Amino acid sequence: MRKTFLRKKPMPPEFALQITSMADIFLILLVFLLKGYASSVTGIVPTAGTRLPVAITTGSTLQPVRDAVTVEISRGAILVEGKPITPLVKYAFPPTAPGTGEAPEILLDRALDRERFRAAHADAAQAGLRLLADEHVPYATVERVLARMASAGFIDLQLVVVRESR
Amino acid sequence: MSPLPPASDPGKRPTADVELNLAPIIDCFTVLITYLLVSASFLAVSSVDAGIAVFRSSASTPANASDSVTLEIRVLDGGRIAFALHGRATPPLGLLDPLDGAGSLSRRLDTMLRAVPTLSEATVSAAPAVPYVDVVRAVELTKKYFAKVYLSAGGH
Repeated sequence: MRKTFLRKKPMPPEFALQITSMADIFLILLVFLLKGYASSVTGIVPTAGTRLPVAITTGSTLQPVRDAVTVEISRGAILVEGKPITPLVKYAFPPTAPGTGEAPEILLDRALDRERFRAAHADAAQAGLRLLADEHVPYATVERVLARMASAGFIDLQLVVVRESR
Repeated sequence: MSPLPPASDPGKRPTADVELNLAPIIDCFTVLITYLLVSASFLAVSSVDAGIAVFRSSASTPANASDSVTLEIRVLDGGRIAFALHGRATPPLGLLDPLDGAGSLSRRLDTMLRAVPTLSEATVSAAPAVPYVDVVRAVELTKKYFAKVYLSAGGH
């Protein structure tokens, strides 16, 4: 009878647990998850060509950007939550939106009402609006957008600005 | 990990040959650095809190309305700024002398607060052609003196 109980055979090397690769994969996954969590809090990505105004003050007048419905006014369109709602012609409202023939304000009203309805059923912190507008947008356009926001029930506004790095 | 060398002398303890393999670590950090560079955001953004105000004509405001006095700051073309006080004020001030540039806005706000200590809110409006950046700057400077600043949405 083989005396196997006296001496054990050493384990072959290929059976050893390789944790180096596993540690690499988990480290990369951890960094991906951390970056994804950090970017989901703000999600501020203006469209190409939109130049946000630079802040001239510091301190308590500037607040961190909070999660809210995003309305962007660029040179060529108004976007709500990243989706183009109505086109603009050199920052100005056209008489009617091409393709639909409806007034741009009506399209904007519908989009804001949808977001308002969604915000009412979601986290209360999302009840406000954050406005990303190109610095060259004339106030006439901004005023019309603000009027639609007010009629949709949004009264709290965050004006997104760029902090100058020193 | 390299296997233990066979012990030449049964009395000697086998020594382990431990080597640190840097290749996987370098691969891992190369991938991480590439990903972080691609996903880095070089834009530091903040927000200025404001409200939305819809103006009503003064005729619709009852005479015995609240005693609160509100300040309207209007940014005009060319960077000029005009002020108006709304509410119960004796005597009514109306549109004050326009100032040149937002640089003197802080000084005028400081003077107004001393003259009318009950001022608690301010509304910022602008002429139609004024660029948005000038309006934001006026709001920022006004926020230093008033906790509540509103942006005018016109009389729609």
